Amino acid sequence: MHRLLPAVLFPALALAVALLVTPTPVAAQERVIVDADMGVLNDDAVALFMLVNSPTVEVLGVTIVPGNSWAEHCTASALRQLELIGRTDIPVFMGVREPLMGSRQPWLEAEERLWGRTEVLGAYGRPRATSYLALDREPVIGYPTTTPAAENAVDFIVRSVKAYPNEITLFVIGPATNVALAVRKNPEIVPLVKRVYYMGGSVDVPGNSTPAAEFNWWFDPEAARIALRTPFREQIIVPTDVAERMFYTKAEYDRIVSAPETPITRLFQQIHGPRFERDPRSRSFIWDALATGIFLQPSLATQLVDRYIDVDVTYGPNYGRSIGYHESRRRSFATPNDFPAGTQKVKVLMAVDQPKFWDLYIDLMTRPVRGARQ
Amino acid sequence: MTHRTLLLGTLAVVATLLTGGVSAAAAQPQPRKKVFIDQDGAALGTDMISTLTMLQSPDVEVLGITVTAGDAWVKAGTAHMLRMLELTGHGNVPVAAGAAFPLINSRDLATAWEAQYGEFSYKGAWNPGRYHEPHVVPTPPTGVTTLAPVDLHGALFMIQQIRKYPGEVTLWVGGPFTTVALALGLDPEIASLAKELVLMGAGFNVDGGGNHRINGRREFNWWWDPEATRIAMSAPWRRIVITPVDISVKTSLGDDVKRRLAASSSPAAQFITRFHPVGQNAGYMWDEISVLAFLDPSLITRQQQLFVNIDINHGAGYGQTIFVEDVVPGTPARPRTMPSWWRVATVQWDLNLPKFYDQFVQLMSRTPARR
Repeated sequence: MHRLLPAVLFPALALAVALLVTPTPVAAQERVIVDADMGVLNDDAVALFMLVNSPTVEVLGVTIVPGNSWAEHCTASALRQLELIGRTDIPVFMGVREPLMGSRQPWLEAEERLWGRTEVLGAYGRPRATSYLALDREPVIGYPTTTPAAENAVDFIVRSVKAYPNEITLFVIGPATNVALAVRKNPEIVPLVKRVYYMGGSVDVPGNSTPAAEFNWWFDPEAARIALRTPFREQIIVPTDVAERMFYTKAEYDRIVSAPETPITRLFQQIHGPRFERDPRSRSFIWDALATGIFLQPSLATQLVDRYIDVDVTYGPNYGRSIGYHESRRRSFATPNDFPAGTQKVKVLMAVDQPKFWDLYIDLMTRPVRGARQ
Repeated sequence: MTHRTLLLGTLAVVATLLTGGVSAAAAQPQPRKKVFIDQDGAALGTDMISTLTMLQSPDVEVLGITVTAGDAWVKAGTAHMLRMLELTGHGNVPVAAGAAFPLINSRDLATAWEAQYGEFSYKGAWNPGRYHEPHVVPTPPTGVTTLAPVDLHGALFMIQQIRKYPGEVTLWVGGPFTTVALALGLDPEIASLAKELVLMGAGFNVDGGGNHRINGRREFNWWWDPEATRIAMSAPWRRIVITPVDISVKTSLGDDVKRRLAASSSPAAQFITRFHPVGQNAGYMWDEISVLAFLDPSLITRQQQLFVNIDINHGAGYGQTIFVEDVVPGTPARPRTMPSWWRVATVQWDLNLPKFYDQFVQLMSRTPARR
């Protein structure tokens, strides 16, 4: 029923697109929380828009975690973009302001002297702001006029999971700091979470922040370790192994901006347009969007492998490195004791059907914003 | 005389006959203690004065000295050592340059550590105020030596001398352990071939566990090269004696001692009078305690057997002493079992201060006969 809604609202073109690439409908209404280090039309924002525009999904809230940027920057980005797409009904919660063990910014220079330059610095590349309304530079999409919810992100996650036992899917698409605190503070929620999707880790490939570590897990290794070692019912990981083999290019951009204009396509034009004008061969990764993509359309995941997963928290050149334990001569999934005590078996995405993924991505980015109040 | 000593005596005679040392053996009724010195080489202060103390003893035969980087870089340290020997009439003692850099620790690591945990009070050759490149030898305050080091790496020299007199050589270490670790890597048997390891290093509960301006457990010699310390302190020495910071801070080279030395015309006393004048440098006698307690163990009034080693994890505790008593307290106490790499050391806690200063002054005032 839901999947026909866009077709009713939008005539010919939308109907054609919907028929071609309609997501495999999830059985019932899915309730999700997006825990993200939101930027301006970065992969976190696209992941959020994909969920917002999916007829079978209800986004309960966006919880903010520092990562790509400090929590203040991410909060401004989340609030303002929800304003622009007319979905200010989705609440935004600020959570932790720094990684679990505190900010390494004061001695990052010393760290880099020992272990080399970090390719992706995220928040560490910018100064902290005192408020989401006083950033180091004015956001290109302007400051928000709406405000974040008063409740802490961690408490919101706990409260929501308890309110909807066995129903909530958590999207942990930034560092896992909020989730780590939630499960340590209220471990009773663990069996009540339906499943957790992570964007993070470089399981069988070098990292993207350092040669050892992927950015989200490098930014807060201890939190990633806590979250991944939590016995959630189901954990699905989208690592750079798959995410950095796919490129968002001008071809995808053109398909989005040639569709009838919506607040989302306007954002694409505003934020990505200048870049493709400067360099039509420009390309980038869409990390987090893969997590929402395989959630909305599980058949896109053409290779999901089992691994026991862990994160190196020894402070050294391997800090934040993901370790994926596969079966081998002396390790069998039939005997969990073959794997490090406390680690969990998770599903790791290794390949997707790329053409179908882009069809879904472009479909969801070009639909009129679902539930928008102008 | 037991059969055992008879046998050893016979062997010694045979050995001296073989080496042609008959007259030397006959002229020496009481065999002197054989000591090999490994020291770091600040131009002034405890490194030089303690080495000099050992050399001044009529009961000791110093087989050789190797200089390791620590308080000073190895080139500068070797130059300082040679100059001291030259000025004090000990220029016949061979000196070899040892390890130039710690195994793992570095100035960059230390800088990164400080960025996280705060400033070190002392960093030896890395001290910002006096830092220079490792290969540079600034003009020493004691002057430029005319002597040259032996043409052999300190680690090889150490091995050679310990092997020359199996079971007889005391290895006395007053600096970081890098050269010892290198020697152990080349020839692991030297640990059991040496008579004992005597050292200044480590720290436990400085000032009885009270507050002190020094973090006693991050003692410089050990901190400069923690990995080498782990290697050296895990080797199977027959005996280990440690003079820790805990006892260092009870002593000082103060004006009283200096005034007594000023009255002596010995080259050793004059070295101190000239370069450590009254009113200056009342530093702790870190390494001198170790030497004097080795010469006269009765100076130590309190000591304890402990398992001692070092933290080599690269965190806040990098380079700090780790230790545990060798017995599990209880009634009755029982020996503690530790993993096989742990060694028990005798750790000195307290000393007879008047006797210590007296013996120091007495030794330094002595003008040794030319040998």
